[in-house]
Amino acid sequence: MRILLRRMKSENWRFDRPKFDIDARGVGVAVYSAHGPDHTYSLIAYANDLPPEKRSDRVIATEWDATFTLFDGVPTEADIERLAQNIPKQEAGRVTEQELSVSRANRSVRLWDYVVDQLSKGQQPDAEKVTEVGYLMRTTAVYGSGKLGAADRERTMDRSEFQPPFQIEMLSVFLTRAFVMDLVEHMARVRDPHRAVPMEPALRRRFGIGNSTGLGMAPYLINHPILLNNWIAAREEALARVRRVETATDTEIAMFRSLLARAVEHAALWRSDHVAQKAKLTDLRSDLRALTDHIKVAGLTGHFPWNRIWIWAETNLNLEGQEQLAALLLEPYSHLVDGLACCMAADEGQVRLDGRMTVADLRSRIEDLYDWALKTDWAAQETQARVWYTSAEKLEPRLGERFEEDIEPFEQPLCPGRDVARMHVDLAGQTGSVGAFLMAHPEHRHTARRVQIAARYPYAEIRDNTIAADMLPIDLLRAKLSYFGACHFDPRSDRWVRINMYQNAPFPHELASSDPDDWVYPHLSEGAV
Amino acid sequence: MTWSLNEIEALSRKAARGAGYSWGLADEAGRAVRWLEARGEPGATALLELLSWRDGKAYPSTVPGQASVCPIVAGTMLCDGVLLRDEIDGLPLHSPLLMQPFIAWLEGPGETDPAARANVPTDVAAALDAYATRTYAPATEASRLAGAGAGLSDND
Repeated sequence: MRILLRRMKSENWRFDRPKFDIDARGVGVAVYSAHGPDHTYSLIAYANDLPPEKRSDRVIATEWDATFTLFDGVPTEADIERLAQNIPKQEAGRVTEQELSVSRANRSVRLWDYVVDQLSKGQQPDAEKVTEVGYLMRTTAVYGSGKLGAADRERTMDRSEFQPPFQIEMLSVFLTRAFVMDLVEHMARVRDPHRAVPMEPALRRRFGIGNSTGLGMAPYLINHPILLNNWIAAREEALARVRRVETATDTEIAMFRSLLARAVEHAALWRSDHVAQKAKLTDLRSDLRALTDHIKVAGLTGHFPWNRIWIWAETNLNLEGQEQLAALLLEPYSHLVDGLACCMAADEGQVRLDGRMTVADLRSRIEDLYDWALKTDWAAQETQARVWYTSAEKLEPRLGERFEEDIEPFEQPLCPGRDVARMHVDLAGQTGSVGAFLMAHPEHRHTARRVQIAARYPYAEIRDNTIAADMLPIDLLRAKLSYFGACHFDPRSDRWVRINMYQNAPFPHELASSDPDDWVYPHLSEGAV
Repeated sequence: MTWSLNEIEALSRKAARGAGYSWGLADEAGRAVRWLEARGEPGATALLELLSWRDGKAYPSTVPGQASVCPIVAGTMLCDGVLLRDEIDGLPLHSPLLMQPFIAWLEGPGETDPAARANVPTDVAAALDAYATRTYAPATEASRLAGAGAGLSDND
């Protein structure tokens, strides 16, 4: 998200709203255009009056409160009409290469009705109630990269604004947020044209766009090892650069101190009812207290101050605190780290299996990189308890129980650890090339390729059992969502989460006069509740 | 109606798997079709033809040396260095169009596919989808309740 906003600010993107035809029932079409130096992109929003019994965030839903597409250019009336026949249907419709992404969103019912009611009476919503939820609508899928016939990444990746990953999706959500706030104000005016007021700007910014994420994201991470490597490598390099800073300036120190205080506030506002997440939040809050106390004593002057804190943190903070610290350390050093954004894309398809590698080499790579998998007892029931599969029901990705359901025949290849262990058994005593081995064992081909990728890209492999009885898909989801810049990770089960995007960020019409980058942690002066 | 390259690749990979290919060879089939379609060649149609021959056969009956040879198998053997370029020409390949990408890949990964659309006839796509559907688990009530989601209402 922040990669996108920094760019749009520095390139002076303009935003306008060529269309807002929404009726008194909240049904209609709106268009929000973003004009960059070389291209214009338009979010087309189709607003719906959804009966509550149809509201579902799952892939199997067939109707939504609002549906969207990000159009490459400014749509004509003919485009809007064509897409009106398809976008509200989502997966049951089709789009063309002029559409870059397809998405949908549902209301947060509890907050929506309350906000419309308040604004219609000429009152502002209560900040505490807003903070409890943090968004009025949440996206339940944002599709790109050729899905449903949309443009392949190849069509746009040479445009500088879309070189880093997921920028199309981030832009779509940024514009969606603007639409949602306009829509809620519109519905308040419909209810009472005389008394209704718009939302006060600072309060308005407290609304992000929620997102409801499920299992599909987990297979994505496993199936994009080079991308995953590049994301993690960029962050590791960024952290290394900051740790190498020999002395910190007063400005840099002041910024860090200020953000640390704001991070404490951010952690206080972060809510979840999920047992595991509540434990992590407890850890995070106590870590931030410990970090704050430590800095009072240790200070940030002298040689390599950031490295000293980092080393202290490795033995004194939980993982939550360490990750928060890593994020904070990057903040004063945009001149050192922001440029790494261009290293975060990847092309998974370019890597072919190297059939000339020797079996001996493959075996030694396995023993080096997958030692954890070789030590695992794959025969044990709890070790192989789960099955990743795709349901015929709207192709929803699901996770099943191997010994309780008859789904093993449909198992997807999403357990590299087990597959590598199996291949290792068949490699015993073999000589010659990997190509020759795979001639006799075609079932190991995808695994051999993966081992070769893991050998070249150090962060490519998820070094854990993805089918264990106690595996939590939400851990995988959180990793990917954190790279988007999502906040307020709030699991609803072991395989379903809510997050918040762009909360406290400027709106498109505010970007020119706002800081594009300093909105993640709440500003203390705004008196956050 | 045209298709994105990504969706044709995904469809082809799943269809190949549904017809009995290993996951790794199904990946190769998907990429081969994508390469062809990106260059305006009827890769999806060639794959459909191949799958209707290959469906239900055991892998060993499709390798070089057999009466009719799978181009995906032979193509990967070529790129893996197990088969030589001049050994390919004499092979009785089924759906030989699908060998073209592998010959190109012998030279190296090559440039990224052109930003093109795939012009796959609707009936071909539907027939490939029938194979792909074999890889999906049947929708059951139990699967819907337990397989995904939060198990709670989304009216919150």
